[in-house]
Amino acid sequence: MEVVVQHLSCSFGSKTAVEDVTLTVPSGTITALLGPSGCGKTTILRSVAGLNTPRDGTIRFNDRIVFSREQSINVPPERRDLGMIFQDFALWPHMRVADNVGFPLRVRHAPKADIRTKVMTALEMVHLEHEAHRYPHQLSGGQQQRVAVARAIVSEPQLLLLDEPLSSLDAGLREEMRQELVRLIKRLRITAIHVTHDHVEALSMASQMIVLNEGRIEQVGEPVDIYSRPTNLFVAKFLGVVNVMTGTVEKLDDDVVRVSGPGWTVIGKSHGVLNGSGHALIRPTSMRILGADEISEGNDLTVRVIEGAYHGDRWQYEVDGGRDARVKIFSDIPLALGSELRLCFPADACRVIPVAETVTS
Amino acid sequence: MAEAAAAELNRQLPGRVWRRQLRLDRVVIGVAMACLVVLIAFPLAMLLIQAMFPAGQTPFQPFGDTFAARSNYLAILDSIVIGLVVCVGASAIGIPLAVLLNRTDLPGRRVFEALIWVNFFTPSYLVSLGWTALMQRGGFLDLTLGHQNPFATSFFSPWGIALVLTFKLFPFVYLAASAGLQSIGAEYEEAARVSGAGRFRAWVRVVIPLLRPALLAGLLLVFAEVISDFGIAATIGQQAGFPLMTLEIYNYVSSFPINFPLAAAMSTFLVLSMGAALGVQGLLLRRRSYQVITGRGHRPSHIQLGRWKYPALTGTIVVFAVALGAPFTASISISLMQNIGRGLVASNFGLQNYASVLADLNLGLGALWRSVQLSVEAATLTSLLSLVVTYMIFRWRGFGRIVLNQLTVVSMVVPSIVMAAGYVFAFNQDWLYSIGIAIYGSLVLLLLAYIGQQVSMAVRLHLSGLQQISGSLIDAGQVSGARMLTLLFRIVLPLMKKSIVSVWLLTFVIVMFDLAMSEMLYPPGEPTLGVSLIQKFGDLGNIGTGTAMMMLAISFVLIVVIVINVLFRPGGRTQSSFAAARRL
Repeated sequence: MEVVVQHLSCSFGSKTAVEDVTLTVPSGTITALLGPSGCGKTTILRSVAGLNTPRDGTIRFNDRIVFSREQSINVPPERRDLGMIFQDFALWPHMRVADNVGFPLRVRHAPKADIRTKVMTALEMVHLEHEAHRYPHQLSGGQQQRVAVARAIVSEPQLLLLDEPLSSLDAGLREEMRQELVRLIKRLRITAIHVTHDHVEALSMASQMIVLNEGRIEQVGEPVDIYSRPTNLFVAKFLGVVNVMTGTVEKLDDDVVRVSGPGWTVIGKSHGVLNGSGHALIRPTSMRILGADEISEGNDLTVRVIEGAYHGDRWQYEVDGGRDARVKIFSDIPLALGSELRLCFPADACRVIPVAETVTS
Repeated sequence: MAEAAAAELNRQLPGRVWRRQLRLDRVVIGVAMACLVVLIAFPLAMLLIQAMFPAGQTPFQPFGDTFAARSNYLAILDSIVIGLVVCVGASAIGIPLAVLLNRTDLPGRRVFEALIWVNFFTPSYLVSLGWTALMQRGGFLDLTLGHQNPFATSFFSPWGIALVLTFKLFPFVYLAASAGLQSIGAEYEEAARVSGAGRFRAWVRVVIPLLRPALLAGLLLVFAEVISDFGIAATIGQQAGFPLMTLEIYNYVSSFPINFPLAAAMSTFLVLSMGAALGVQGLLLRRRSYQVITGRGHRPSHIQLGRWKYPALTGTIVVFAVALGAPFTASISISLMQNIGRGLVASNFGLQNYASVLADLNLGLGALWRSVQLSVEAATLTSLLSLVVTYMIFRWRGFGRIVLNQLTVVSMVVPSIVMAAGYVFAFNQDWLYSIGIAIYGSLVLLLLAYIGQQVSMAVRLHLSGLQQISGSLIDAGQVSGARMLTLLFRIVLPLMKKSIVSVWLLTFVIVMFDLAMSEMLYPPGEPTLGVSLIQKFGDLGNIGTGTAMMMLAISFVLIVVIVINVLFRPGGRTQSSFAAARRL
């Protein structure tokens, strides 16, 4: 089922949470809404669910309008036929697992035998068929999470909403559940909207990502696209550690540009016309330390080591390549502070964007 | 074109537009609103009208009269002075006790803490009746001292009133100070010690200043309790000939010379004083809570009492011996004497008083049974009404929610005696009789008054219970396809089971031992427990059956409390939620 959100605006009192957001969630995909807390991602999700009444806009499931301010349509959540997984799981403590999962079917007055088989099927999908008679508090965090998943899918909704479902699990469990959720969603061939503030979660689960900040969309695209070709500084920084070198831009070819600052020059890729000054963005993982006599196959930057920290699996160093060119690098071996070394990275790994009027981080 | 088609599609689909569901919940909400208007708004409005626009007087004249006659403004002044004295006394007991029970290795801390709750929940007039049985000429102390009780007359004075109120109300200071001590943890004290302050200086310079807002809040609560108390004013105060505000109000409504407008004006004044005290207290608490309460667990420090252990223990025991021991020993002893005139001889003891109370409807069983029925009915109806109102406050947005919220907060400030006066003014009107509503002077009106007085507290209790339920539990139900009534019966009510049981139990106990409303509104010849007890204790010939009746009532309530605790296990919720609703 395709979900179309048009010109959605939400406010709480005088505070605007979402401002004129338009987005499309293609049928059968997982779309991640990614952003820092307070960016409006949860508000958008709750508006799609009907738990929140937007100030303005339209929300459409295929051809069915579920919300429209203009036409005064607001379908209540219980009639939107969707499944939702909540951040705190929201399992009802007074109901057994089977009753929690069967609730969406019971309120739809499904026949008893039907309920039993569907509940068991749902529980089997999340490997909890033996815990049906237990109460939520008797289960571990991961099991509670699975019950919440089973409840969300038991009525075979075409749309599944996930509100930071993994954030209350510990790290190991989170990774396991991430894969399991993706497998389940693909197997059921349903559309999913996944709200998260964890960029790794979004990158690894979603087929479409929407990065939000302060109630507005910053960038939409596939994970690989967004990670390697951010269109602004906010997106670049939100998706992980990134080095920013700011200098004067000079166009060399179609999309190839040269950025130079005092004592340094790098070649990168760019879209759009640059006004003279720009940011060159390079992920530390793309930077390699060159051997003494090695010849660089791309950019070649001479830097001095300033400070470092041991991270267990590797060292992280801060190095200086001249004014406006202080960058972070990773190294498998310890480096001497104050020593000079050469870094190389391909032009493809260097994304150049214009310097914006206001920079948010 | 496409839009028109989509609109058409939506028309066919269920759940179109901001449509309200089921008619039934509109009916339920309508009934609940009507109840609130009749039970709270109407009596309070009539009280105000009576004070501001009295029939046959110039508007607002009663307010002037209040301060014109000496006996009137003296009552107000007396209440305020007694309030201040009791604040001092209650602090002198409550603060040291809070430190002893929270921060030292005093033996038996749990027992003392339980006794504080017992004292907290004991109705004030039961305590003061116990003191009357102990102190009056021919009372228990007279019997033990061979009719030589030196305080038989001097006790029934402002000092006696202050003493009884102090020992009744110190738990308020204790609870406020304890909450403060628990929330500030030991680290502040330790930091002061590490910085070079001795134990004494650390307390004086750091702990006490941190406690100050909590203590001040506790004291304001004590003050509010004193000026609104009717139980002691109507017993010891009455006998001492020392009129307090609440007793004056009662007298102007119920006995010659009747003066409704004056009673209404004094009521208004009383409510305003209560509102001021509790408003400031609320502000203090709000400021305190964001200062020192953090999510981190606090490790309390424990002072070793050493050689002060036994003196401290003795002092603590003396406090409870005076607060609970003295009045109840006297009451129990007298209840076991066949004839108080024959004094403390072995042959005089027996269960005869109990037998006569239980055998004779007119002797006390009638009143006891009447109160049991009324309190069960009031508790049940209050629970139902408060649930609906709570749901409206919880789910509504905007103006209606604010109005309901404020109504319940404001009416909690209204003392029972004032509410009862409002009921008299509201329901004793000719036009009501002429349209066939003649409930004034019947048990029905008394029941309604109980509900009107209790429903606000019940709503506050439910709301504090609801705060512990995550909103997503209800969202999850809605997303699952449940409509309002299904949500209510399948999810909200089961989750609120504990707070429903607590509300029922509290209302039951409070109504069972009510005095103020009963005195003002009981139908002639049909006294409730409180009314009947006051009558019996006023006469040495009946005090034996009176004390027996009091013990039977207390035992019965204890059994109900225990049975309900075993059946439903609300656990500590009743206590803590009550304390929360009283903003302790």
